[in-house]
Amino acid sequence: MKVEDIVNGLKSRFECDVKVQSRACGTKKIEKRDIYARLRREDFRKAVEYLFEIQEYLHFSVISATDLGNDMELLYHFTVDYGKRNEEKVVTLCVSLPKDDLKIESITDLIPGALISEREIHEMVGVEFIGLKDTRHFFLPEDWPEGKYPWRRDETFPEDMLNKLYETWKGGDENE
Amino acid sequence: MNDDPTFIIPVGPVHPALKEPIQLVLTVDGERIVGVDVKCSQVHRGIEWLGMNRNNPIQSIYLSERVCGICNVCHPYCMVMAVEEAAGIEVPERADYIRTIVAELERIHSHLLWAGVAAHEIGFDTVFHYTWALREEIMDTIEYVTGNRVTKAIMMIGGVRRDITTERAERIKKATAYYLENFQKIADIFLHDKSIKMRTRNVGILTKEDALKLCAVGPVARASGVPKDVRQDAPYGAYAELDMKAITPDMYNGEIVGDVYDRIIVRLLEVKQSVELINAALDNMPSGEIVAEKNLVKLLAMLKRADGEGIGRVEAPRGEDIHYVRLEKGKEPFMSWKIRAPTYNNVLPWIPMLLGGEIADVPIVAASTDPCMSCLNRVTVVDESRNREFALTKEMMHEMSIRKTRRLMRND
Repeated sequence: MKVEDIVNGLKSRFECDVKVQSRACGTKKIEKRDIYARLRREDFRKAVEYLFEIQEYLHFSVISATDLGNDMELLYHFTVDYGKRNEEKVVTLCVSLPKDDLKIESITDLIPGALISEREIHEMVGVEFIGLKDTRHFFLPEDWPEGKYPWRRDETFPEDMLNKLYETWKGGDENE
Repeated sequence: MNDDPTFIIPVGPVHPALKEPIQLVLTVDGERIVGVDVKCSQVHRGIEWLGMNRNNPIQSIYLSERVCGICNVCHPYCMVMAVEEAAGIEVPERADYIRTIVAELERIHSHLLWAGVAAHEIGFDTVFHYTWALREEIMDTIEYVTGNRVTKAIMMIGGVRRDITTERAERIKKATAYYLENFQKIADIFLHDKSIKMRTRNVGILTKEDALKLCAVGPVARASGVPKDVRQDAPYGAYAELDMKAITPDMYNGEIVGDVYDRIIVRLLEVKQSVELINAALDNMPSGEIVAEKNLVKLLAMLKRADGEGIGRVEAPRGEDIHYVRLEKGKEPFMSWKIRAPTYNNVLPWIPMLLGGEIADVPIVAASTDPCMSCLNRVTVVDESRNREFALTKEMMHEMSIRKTRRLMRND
């Protein structure tokens, strides 16, 4: 599917802001083009389902998170059209969530491979994924303090643990 | 007394097959694996946080090089591409070719390293030493070309730091000729040896559907018949104009099983493919500048003024590597930086690969995804029903694996 068709498809279905970024490479200047769509939270799930219309098994790469101050922006990086020479595109669906209501629907029922990424965002940023069954820590230790999120730039960042993580360990050697 | 016949075996954090810490919690019924859970909380170093709070973008290149000792080209490659896109920097053509050549040199060394480890895991140490002896040629070449065997420090935002001169090109040509000459030998050992085939055929199968659903990447996905390869799919570097096709095992023997043996086929054929790509890139390399902005102070000032976002994607030896970078005007560190290494996606496929398998197969199956996480020491076996624990050392597990090879050879 052409980049323009995907852009039009997204624009006609959802109220969203779509941007296409391109970059040329090599001597022939063949272009890579990435699509960024900034959507409302309520359209997000439908937008993922729309991407499934383009690609039967949609490839999910990862979720990135950006702290925008009052909001957290989640960026879901998907790719479509793999296996075709120079045709694959990255489609990034971006959703802003207010910090006092960090909730979004889980996509693990559509893409089981998104499990690790959702667990990572859950522990690093504090987003609640509705429908995510496994919410245990994946990268952080099991005894990580609740309500502390290392990827946020606000009061929930564990400032007191910085550079002295070992002091915060539970069950450490008292004689040390 | 508990009637449940299953046992729980935590494998790791220091793991039997891997050279890096990760924990596998296996539920076993006798020798059969009936449940798998993975825990990765051992070595999170907060690299993204350092890039977002402490470092300037140029310092972050060297930090990203240390994400992984083996993939020390693909991580900085991804990062600089993302920054270039965010800041609108155009890379000279020659730099695209040099990046491609260095990335392919890395793939050869990484795949040969893996092949050696795989042979060791099944107790075939002669092949392990032989493969690693062959690998020395590529390591010497990398040192000659970049100045270092491991961290190559060749990437720069807007290009590369060192040129491939005529002399260096000749050294690379010598190495590629060496591998073309010796390729058949390695292929014969790995693909025709009876004991390797016995331990890897029909072991650790990942179906095409599971590979797609769990978003597997790299040789693991390709061995299951998914023709996915960033070098083929998305234009970057010099790959878009070189002859490049994703390798699947059916190209070799006409069938796709999705087992450990197929993963060996894919990686071995990729070594040959890398050699061919390097030769083609050297022959077609344009002349000209190697970096867009030589003055680092100017470059940093330009990046500080930039405002934007970008994605860098590279086919690392283990699969798709992706970095997302956002730059904020007036600030040096990245506003946002996300690194996703290929193993991140290849961990979940371990579950279907291991389910139904035997404990003795854990080392080779886990190693077959070439996980990039470092050295196993011991495993604790918890016998739940009898409420006792005992340690299974790496040596014992390795021994079990060797015994299985011998047993199979006797029965054959």
